[in-house]
Amino acid sequence: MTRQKSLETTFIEAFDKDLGLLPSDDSDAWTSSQRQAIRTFADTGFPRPKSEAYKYTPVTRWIGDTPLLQTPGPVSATRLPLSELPGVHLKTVNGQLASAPEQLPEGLTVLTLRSALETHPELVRQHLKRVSEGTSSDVFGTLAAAFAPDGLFIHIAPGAVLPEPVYIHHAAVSPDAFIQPRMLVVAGENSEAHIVEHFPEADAGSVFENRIVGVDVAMRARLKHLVVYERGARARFVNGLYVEQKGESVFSTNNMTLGGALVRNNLHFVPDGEHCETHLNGLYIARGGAHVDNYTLVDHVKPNCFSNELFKGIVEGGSTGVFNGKVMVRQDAQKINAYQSSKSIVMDDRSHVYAKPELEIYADDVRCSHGATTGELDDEALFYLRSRGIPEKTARLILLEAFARDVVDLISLKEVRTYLNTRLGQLLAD
Amino acid sequence: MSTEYLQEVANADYKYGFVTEIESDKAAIGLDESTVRYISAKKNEPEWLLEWRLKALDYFLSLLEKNDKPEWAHLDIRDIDFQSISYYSAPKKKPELESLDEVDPQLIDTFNKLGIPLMEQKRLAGVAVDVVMDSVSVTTTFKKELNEKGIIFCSFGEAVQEHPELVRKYLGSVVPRTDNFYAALNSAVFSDGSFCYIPKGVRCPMELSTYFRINEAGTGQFERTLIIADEGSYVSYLEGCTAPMRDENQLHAAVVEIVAHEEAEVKYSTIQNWYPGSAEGKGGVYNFVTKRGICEGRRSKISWTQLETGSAITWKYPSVILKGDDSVGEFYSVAFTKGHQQADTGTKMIHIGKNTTSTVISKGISGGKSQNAYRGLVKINRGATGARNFSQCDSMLLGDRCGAHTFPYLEINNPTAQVEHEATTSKVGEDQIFYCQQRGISETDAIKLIVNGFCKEILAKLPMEFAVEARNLLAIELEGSVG
Repeated sequence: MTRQKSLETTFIEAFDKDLGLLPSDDSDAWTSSQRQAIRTFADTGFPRPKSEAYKYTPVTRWIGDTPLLQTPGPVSATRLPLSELPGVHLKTVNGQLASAPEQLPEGLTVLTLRSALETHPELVRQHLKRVSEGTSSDVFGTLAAAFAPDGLFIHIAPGAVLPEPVYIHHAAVSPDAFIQPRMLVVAGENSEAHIVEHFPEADAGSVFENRIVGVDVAMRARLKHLVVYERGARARFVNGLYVEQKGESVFSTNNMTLGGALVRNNLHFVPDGEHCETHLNGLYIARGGAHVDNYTLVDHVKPNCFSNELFKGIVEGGSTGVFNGKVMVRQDAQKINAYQSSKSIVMDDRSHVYAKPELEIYADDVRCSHGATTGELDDEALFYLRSRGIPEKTARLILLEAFARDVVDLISLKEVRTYLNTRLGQLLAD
Repeated sequence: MSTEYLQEVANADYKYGFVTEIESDKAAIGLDESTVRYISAKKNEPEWLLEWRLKALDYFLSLLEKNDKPEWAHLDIRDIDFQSISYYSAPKKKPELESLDEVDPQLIDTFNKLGIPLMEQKRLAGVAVDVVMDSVSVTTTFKKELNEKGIIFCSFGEAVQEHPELVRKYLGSVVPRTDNFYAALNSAVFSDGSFCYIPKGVRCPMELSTYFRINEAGTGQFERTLIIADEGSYVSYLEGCTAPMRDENQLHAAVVEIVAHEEAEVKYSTIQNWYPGSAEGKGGVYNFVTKRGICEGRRSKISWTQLETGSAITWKYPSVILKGDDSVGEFYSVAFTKGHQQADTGTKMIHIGKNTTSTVISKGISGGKSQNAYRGLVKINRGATGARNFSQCDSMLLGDRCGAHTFPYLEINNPTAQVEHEATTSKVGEDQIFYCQQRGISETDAIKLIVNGFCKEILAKLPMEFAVEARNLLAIELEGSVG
């Protein structure tokens, strides 16, 4: 308890020293929103040990030993395996925009968030407010909002259909640093885009990335989103994704967690309009004592929407996998179809899987279901393969790959699928 | 049409509201050491039990001071003033009767009103009924026949006097006095309850049942039940409840402990139909129950079946600790809420032994402005090789102002475990109603039919006579004031 308190105080004091907690005359919109965020953070505090949302993942335990709030040190260049693929390539260093092509396709705007405050004041201000006040963010998101020096802004103009995916390579981070990136993606009405975020291994050491991403999907927009996280075995990651959809829009996200010591995906979706479609899929492979937690919330506030969720995990070597998925259907949000499925494989008796698939439903005319299974590889399937002369090791690998590919196959980019399948093969063969 | 009917269902009156006027003996209002001493002295308890109670009281008061109440449930509980409750109430006349003729006629009348003709049940069904009226056992029947088999079935107070060695050995062995807030309260002030011991290799020849009733205004009821099934024995235990209509909230914090030794089987069935509060959400019983069984020995089995239709607030998680290898735990539940009722109920299956199996089937039906939540834990410990669990939770919504929730917790620490959980939520199918109506079945009957079908697999698990009562109860609940 004391340690937790002191951890919060550390952040608040550092903020005060750096920016000052009290409003000043010269403060711009950005700084004021930072101040609001730190106030919200101070009011909320880190999740208590008994907190339901963080029941199996006391994140503060992993923050404790990170040197906090130091200016990030130098970074080293990294190989970016996806950078050769056709598409628009953006690069960030320590969470800040480092490079973007000079010539962007029509309808795509890439800016820093601060400069977007000038060009798209309304969009950005609204987002800043929502995050700082904690309405579309949990406490880790507001913390990131308090400290992020700037952020990344991606805007797809109404009606624009991007021919190629936008790749964001979170290319480099200072090893062992504590960094808090921020991003806002806005898909205008009737627009269409595909955003792929890649976190390569990148000599990250025990870096702690606590990020907040806001996604606004306007009427009838279609946005696809993919996150591939492959940082090293000591890296920590709290991935706050807050999506708001307007009517008739389609949003899909796919979260591939293939690395890290601690990964907490906070995935929140509010289909705030009728006839929205939301797809969220995820695959995680937790190895070597890693702790991976997928927390998802689909909050149906409007009627006639559809959501589908599929999360799969392979947990081995004293690791822990957590799936906490919640589907909420508010009063009067009738005719909702919401499905959720979570499947995990535990490979050894030192590993753990905790699943908490929840339904919270206040409307009657709905169809909601969830299913969760946990177990080891199917004995009969193994036997089948072995009876055809396939050695046990290979047979296991085949089954594991098949299990994982269910999620990979949902990705529409062929090249990325190929890359992921190769990576999965390597990871699982180890 | 359908909404109207459902509304009426949801507003249905509580049919079992009446008060039996029996003189009673009450403890002063409030809770401190003297309350516990008063209860213990009243019941002429040995020193060790008093000490046990006092330790529980200490723990409870320390929690109360920290305001450390369980708050994780999906319930909106008005602050309960634990100092404004009288913790003991016993009917003054304590008849020790051999035959039912000597029982207070008013009591018989009460049971008749409840639709439980004791005499008839005794004769026809061959059920020994240990009637618990408020807190003290009033009459016990069929004792002789049970005695012949060596089965002990008596009130808790009697067991303390006559079989102290058994009570001492098992009391608190499954639900320790520090288990949780309400269990600690119960441990401190429990008034009476039932005690049951089935000796080695004995198959109990009849269903054992107890009817609990909360009768005295302003008294909490703190039952404590202890069931021990020795090696190779079998018992089916029934518990059913209805309570008179009251305006103020009544607190009920019971504890049930079950121990099943090697190859023993215990089947525990409950119908709970306490006063759910008025249509405006006023009054009603607060039901905070800790029920837990342990499959101590190899190949033992504990099965919980429950039909929950009453209480303003239900907080209840009948659990099984599967300690013995190859042991089996089962939980079958129907929870029906309407009006302003709130239920947060489910189970815990803790797999410790090897090749243990558990099955959870829960059906929730909510109407009116009620909130109905399933909350269940399946935990596979590291050593529980070959554990198997299947859980299914289905919810049905009868209105657009109610809530149906599912909060399963699956904690798996062993790779050989196979755990499956599935849940669905939907409303009464309009197509199904239409189909029935087409064939000349009224809408009311159609809904009854559908709900009955929804619950059928659970109700079928109840012992025969209970199943009939349960079906009637569900029908009455649905029917309400509608013809």
